[in-house]
Amino acid sequence: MQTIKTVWSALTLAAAMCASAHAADMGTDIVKRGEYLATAGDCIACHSTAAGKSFAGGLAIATPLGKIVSTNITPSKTAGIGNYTLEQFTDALRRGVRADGERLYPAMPYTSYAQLSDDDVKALYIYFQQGVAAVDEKPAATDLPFPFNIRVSMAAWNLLFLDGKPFVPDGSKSVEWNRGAYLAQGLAHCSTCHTPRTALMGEDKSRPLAGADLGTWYAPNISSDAVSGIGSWSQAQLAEYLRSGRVAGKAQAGGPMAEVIDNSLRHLNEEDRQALATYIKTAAPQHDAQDSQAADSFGQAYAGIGALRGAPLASDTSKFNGAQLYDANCASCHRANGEGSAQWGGKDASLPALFHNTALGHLNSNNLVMAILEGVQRKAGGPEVLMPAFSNKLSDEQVATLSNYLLQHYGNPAAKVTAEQVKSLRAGGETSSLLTLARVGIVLVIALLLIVAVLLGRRRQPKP
Amino acid sequence: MNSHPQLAAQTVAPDKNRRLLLAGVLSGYVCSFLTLPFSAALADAPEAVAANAPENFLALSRMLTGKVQLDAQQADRLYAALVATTPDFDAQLKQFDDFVANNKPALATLQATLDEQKLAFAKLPGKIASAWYIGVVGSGKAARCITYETSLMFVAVADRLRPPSYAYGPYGSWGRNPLAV
Amino acid sequence: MSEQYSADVVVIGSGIVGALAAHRLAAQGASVLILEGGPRIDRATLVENFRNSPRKGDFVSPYPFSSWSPHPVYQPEDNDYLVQAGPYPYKAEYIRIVGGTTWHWAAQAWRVLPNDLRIKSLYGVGRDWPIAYEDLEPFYYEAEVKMGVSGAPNNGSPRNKPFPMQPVAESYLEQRFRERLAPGGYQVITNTTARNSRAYDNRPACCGNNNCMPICPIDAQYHGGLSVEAAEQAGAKLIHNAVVYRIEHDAQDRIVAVHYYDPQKNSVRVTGKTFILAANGIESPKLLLLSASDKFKNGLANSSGTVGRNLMDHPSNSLSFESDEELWPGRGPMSPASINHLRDGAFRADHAAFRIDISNSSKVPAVTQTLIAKGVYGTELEEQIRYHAARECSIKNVLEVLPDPENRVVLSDKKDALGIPRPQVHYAMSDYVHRGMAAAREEYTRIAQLMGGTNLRYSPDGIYGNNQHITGTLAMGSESKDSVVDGFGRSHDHPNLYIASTGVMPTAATVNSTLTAVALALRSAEHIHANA
Repeated sequence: MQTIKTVWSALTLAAAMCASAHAADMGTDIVKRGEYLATAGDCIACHSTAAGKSFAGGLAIATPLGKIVSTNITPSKTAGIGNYTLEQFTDALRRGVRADGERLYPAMPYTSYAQLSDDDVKALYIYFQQGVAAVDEKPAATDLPFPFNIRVSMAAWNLLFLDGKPFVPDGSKSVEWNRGAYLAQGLAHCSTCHTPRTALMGEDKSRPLAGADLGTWYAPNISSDAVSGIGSWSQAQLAEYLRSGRVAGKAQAGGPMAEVIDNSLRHLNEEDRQALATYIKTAAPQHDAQDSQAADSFGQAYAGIGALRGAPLASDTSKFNGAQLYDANCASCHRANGEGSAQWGGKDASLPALFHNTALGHLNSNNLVMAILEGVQRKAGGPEVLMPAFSNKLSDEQVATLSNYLLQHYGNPAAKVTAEQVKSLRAGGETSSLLTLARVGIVLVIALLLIVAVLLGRRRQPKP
Repeated sequence: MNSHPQLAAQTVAPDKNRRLLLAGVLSGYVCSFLTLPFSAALADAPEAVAANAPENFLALSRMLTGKVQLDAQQADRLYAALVATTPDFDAQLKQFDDFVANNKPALATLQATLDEQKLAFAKLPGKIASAWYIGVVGSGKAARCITYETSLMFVAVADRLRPPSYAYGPYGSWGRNPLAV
Repeated sequence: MSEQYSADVVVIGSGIVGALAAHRLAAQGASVLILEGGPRIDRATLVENFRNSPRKGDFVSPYPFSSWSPHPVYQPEDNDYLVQAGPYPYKAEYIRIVGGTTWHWAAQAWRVLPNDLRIKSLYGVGRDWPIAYEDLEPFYYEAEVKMGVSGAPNNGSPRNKPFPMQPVAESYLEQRFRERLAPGGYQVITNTTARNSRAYDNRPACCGNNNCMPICPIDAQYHGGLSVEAAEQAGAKLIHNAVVYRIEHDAQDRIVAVHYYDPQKNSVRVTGKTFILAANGIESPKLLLLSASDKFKNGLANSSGTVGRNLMDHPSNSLSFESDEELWPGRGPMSPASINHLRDGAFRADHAAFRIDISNSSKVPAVTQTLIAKGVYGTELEEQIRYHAARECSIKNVLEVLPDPENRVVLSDKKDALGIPRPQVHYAMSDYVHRGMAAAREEYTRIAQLMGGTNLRYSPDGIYGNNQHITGTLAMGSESKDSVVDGFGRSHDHPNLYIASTGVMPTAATVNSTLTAVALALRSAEHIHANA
């Protein structure tokens, strides 16, 4: 009896969810629905280059193992997926297998897309066949260093890390929560960035959404822990962040997250963003003992130039101290005391304060350095934001000096930046030890086999 | 959720990436102390002597600016610069102080009175007010900037304007009626 | 002579005009070498220098001065670099550094009016240009796209394509001027400027730092430093601290080389196929005169005898007043708007035309200084600062001077630190100018009335400000007898010498000359490329 009840409530939930999904996705036009889902999944972010045509691929995605180049997923029959059947499309999306049987690298987040419902996969398929312009240009092929260029090895990896079952709603939670869970775990694939990875580059399922170093940018802890995560954020603030990438007094999106908001999240309808916020708010708290307070709670207004105003300057900027570097490069927008322009700009103020700002609040200081090196630029249609890149204006030492000044006075004083770190981030981040590990592993295995062969050979020799 | 024995084994094994990150953070933290002595030295080096402003300077400053509270560090720096650029500043300051104590002049007519009586320190109140409000001390080649954004003239209008070179706000924010802010 | 350098195109001077010509040629595949007398400079240092300067109103003060590549300095003491022969002072300001003087301009980027090129035919004054507005139009557009220019569509200069971006958002002050002046028949329009109204060229939109002069702290405003960056990225090479002191020609009158000094006075000879002289309207004629040879005793490119002559700039008079409402200048760009309809008309036969510029610079320091000088102290001082800073307005003009051969740049007998003769200027104001100034004064009075103005303070009669738009000294013309270069900026006397400068403009028009000089230079670069 109990089982039937559970099954029944699960079914009604699923039906309600699909219904709300339908209602939410602008009616029954399946191509439009597919387009909405593709936006939610942010396919365009990886499958297009900045200058190239939509979905024509060619983006070289830097991973710790090397560059993975995205493919052309326009309906071109020569260069794209124009010949794919629905089944082949489903296999690629959910199992990471191409039409020719080769495996995809998990830079394609098929581990997340595996959660998609059949209906949604079908809508996506139809959108990509009928709603996207075909582009007959094939991008460069991916060529990872040995042994990762052996794609069949992905089969083993998938055994470990691919849980290929579609999303099953949780009967004890609300419709909105389930919608948010479906989106977050599936199309929005939050965990592929925000969940830390194991040594074998799989998601560490014991610490979901606990934050991960992406090589250069850092995807922060978005669990509900009030200190290490975003537990102190209200649902409204979360939904606002997903809409605009900006919550004054807390955070603003930069780097890859800014792209996610520009390409994907701000185009969702408000109910879906609220659903995502509802779900994220319940993500199990992942506490890091090193964190003493929430990343958005550090710092206060501070004008460091005080005693140095009017003082004679060093003849070259490499000798400027932190306060002088700040005065020369940052204060013009962020103000002498770091308070930004909240007073003038209203809630979409695009010159943020540097205190109570998560970009300076994490122990992992990479985002601060990346914001300085690459700047922050948002696309047209959203708030007018351009923090210029300083990579060719500041040396590694200057970035480090400036960053430490900022962290000391406006951010997390336990976080530090070194010139070495800046140099490494400029170059694209640390490479994974996995490559060396794998190669050493192979050498060891071969050596082991040789030893075994020799021993066996010896054994076979007839005893005198 | 973890039903694969291999996966279970994996989660127990140490995460090399995490270790690398922690090692990096830790060594960075240690290395940062190496740069501290240099930055401290740099902060000290260019700053000229900042004498402690005497009480008569502070009292006269409060009178001339109409402010009950003045920033102590700013007072020290302005005082030192005034001493450096005005010959016998301390002597004039004493004369001014005595004059105020003996005559209790109204602020509105203070300058007119000093000028009329052709007193030796007649230019002093103007110099002190300029130092606080404009942040510049001395004139001609000897002129020095002591404060800029904390100069009182900018503080006076801080609810309406920013000192030039600091952003007013995001693009277009200057179109609003300033009185509506 | 220690070293040798060589390139297809050698550009003398790295200001916005020379650098954009260099960029165009380098992008088209030529090897380009730019020689700049002054040092490299970076924005961070300039911002620091500005904030630490005791003379915020002196726009030259943040910029480094080099004894080997000197420029005029007037505060706190006049360095007499530009020797004044009178009768009227000509205190031009310019800076000799990599990127040139547009590091500290207000980014005014107007085109001339079509009639500006024909005032002799139309009004019987001045001279006609050897080219038509249509010849320049495509190059104007090319310059506008490169620099990120926007403005009011009805600014009097026809265009084939829209501006690359929307005009910069109006400040509240500009709105009120526009609304209150309209009933008086004045149309206030947003200035045509190279200032970002959106993110453009990887540079942010204006954030109202109100510091266009002396330095935009965020590069929302285009300047010569960016032109040099672009040129170098396109493959042009630049040698700084290279003071060119002589241009060398051969028996066929072709330019074969230039010679420069480094700061230690070591001489270097640089050869090339084509040479572009882009060292501003004073330093370029100076160099041509300095390069006099046995064959060309009056200097190079000077068969007409007009090198350095017909010196023109834009003088200004002004009016300051207090409006009857709080406008709070200092919010947004320093120079946002103009009154444009007095730039052209039959009156030009009789008196000078002008553009009226409405200031939006912060008045706080000036107002404070005045109050303290009047002996205002205490809380009264604070109240008065707020009262006056909210209401203080100023307007000025940019007025057309006619070419007069007696107004000229020559070599003085005084030398700079490297032993190079300093330039000397002869300058005078004509009645044409004085009548124009009087007409402007009347307009100012009406404008102040419309703004409910009190406490009107006119600039002194006959004493005018200067705008550093140095034109006329290397004028273009179709006849070699009365001009220095032809319509493509090519010297009549030396077939491989081009001049890229505001100095080639034969009349001054009524707007800032930078965009026109850039358009002309791009046209010269196209000519060089086509004839290479």
